Amino acid sequence: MLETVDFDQRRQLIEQIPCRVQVPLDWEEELEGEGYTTSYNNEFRANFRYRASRRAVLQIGEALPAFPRESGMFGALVQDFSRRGMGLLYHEQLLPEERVRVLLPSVSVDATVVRCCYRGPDCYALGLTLESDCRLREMLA
Amino acid sequence: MSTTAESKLFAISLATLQPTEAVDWDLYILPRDTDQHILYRASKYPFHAKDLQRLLESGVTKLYIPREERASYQEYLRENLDAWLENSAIPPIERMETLNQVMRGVLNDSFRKPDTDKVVNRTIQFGRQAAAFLESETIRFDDLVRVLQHDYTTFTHSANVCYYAVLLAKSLGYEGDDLTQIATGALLHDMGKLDVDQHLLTKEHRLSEAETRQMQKHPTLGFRRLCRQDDLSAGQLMMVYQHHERLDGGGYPVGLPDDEIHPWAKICSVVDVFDALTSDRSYRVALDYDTAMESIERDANLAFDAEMLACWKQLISTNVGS
Ligand SMILES: [Fe+2]
Repeated sequence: MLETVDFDQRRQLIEQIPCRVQVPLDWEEELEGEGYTTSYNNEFRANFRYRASRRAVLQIGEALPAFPRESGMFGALVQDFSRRGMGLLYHEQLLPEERVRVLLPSVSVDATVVRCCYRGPDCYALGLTLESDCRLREMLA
Repeated sequence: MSTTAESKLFAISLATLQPTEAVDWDLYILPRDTDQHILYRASKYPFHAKDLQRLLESGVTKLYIPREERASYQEYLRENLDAWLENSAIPPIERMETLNQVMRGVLNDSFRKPDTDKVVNRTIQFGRQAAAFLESETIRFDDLVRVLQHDYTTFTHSANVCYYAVLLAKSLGYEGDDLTQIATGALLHDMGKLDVDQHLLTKEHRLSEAETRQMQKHPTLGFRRLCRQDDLSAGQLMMVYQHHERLDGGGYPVGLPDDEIHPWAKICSVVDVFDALTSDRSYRVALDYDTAMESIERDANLAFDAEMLACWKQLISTNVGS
C-alpha cells in the first residue's frame, strides 16, 4: 500500500516520535553520504539500491501468533532504498515475516521483514521487501 | 527395520508386535543356523501373547515380513505406539528402538513431500511421545546411541536431536509440557533445510562461500515456514531460528549476543553439533564421543553455554535418568 498525505504534517510526526536506535560508532560512517550502491555480500536485491539516511516511523502490523507486539509508532533510521526493498536500523529485533508500515514524509509503505542482523545494543539492521514498487523520488522527498 | 539377504523380506523387531492382534502381513522366521526364511504365521492369523513368549524364550528377537508391506507395517507401528511405549513388559531400550523406527519412518515420509501443517501435527504427536517416554524411563546413553541411526539425513538428525534435547533439558531441570515442546521444536529445528538445494546437504567437498550462504539461510527459511502455526510457541520457533547463533555474537542469522538467545535454542545448538560430529558425513566419518566433546568444549562460552555443556558431558558419561 502506498499513500500520500500532508507532507509537513507527516514530517512533524516523524520528528516528534523518538528514535531509540543506538548507532554503533563504527557504523556512523555507513550513514553518511548518498548515492547508488551495489548489493552487500551477504544479501541479494534484484534492484539497485540508493544509500541515503532518513528518519522514519515504523508501525508494526499484524503480529505473528507466538510473538505479540506492543502497538504504536516507533522511530527508525532508513539506510537505503530500492524499488522493492529498504534497509533500516531499528532499536529491537524484528522477525522474518513480520509486517510493518514505514512512514516517510511523503509516503507510507507496507513491507515485510526478510532479514534482521544485530549491530549492537538497541541497534538491528532490518531488510524489508516492499509490498508495492516505490518511486525513489517519492521516498527521498 | 533392516533388509534381509533375500531382500524380498525385511526384519522387524519382535517387540513391535502387539500380541492378541492379527496382523495384515505374513510373518516369516529365520530358524537358527539356516539362511532360509520360512513362513511362521499367515496374515490375519491371530498372534497371541503365548506365541510371543515362546518366541522370546527360544531366543528369537526378529521376524520378517514382505517388503511390499512396509507402508502397512509403518501404519501399524504408528497406531500402536502409545500402547508399546507404556508396556513395561518390554525393556525400555526396545521400546525406544520402536519409537525411533516409527519416528524416522514418519519423518522420512513427511520431509520428502513437505506439507507444513502435516509435519507440524506429526511432530507435535511424536514430541509428546518422545518426551513422555524419556522423562519416565531410564536408558543408558550408550544403549540409546546404539539404537539410533547416524547417517545425518535431515530426518535422522532431527529425530536424534529430539531425543538428545529432551535428555539435556531434563538434566537441566525442565519437565512436563516444557519437555514436550522442546522435543517438537527439536524435531522441527532443521525444517528449513527442505528449502535448501538438496545437493548442498550431501556434498562431499567443502561448500563454497556462496553455497555456505545458501546453507546458512535454513534457520530463516524454517522460521518462515513455521511462524504462522498457531500451535507452536515462541520457544519452539526460536529453536528453529536461533540454533546456529553463538554466545559471542558470531552466529547466524542474526548474530545475537548471549543474553538474547532463547535458552531452548542454546540446548538445541549443543545437541545439534554433538549429533553432527558423531554422525557419518559425506566428507568424514563419525567422531567418537570424547573427540566430539573435546571439539565442542573448545567453544565453551564462545558458541555454547558452558553450564549446558558440562551437563551434557556429565549426561553422556553416566546412566540417563539415574
Ligand atoms: Fe541447522
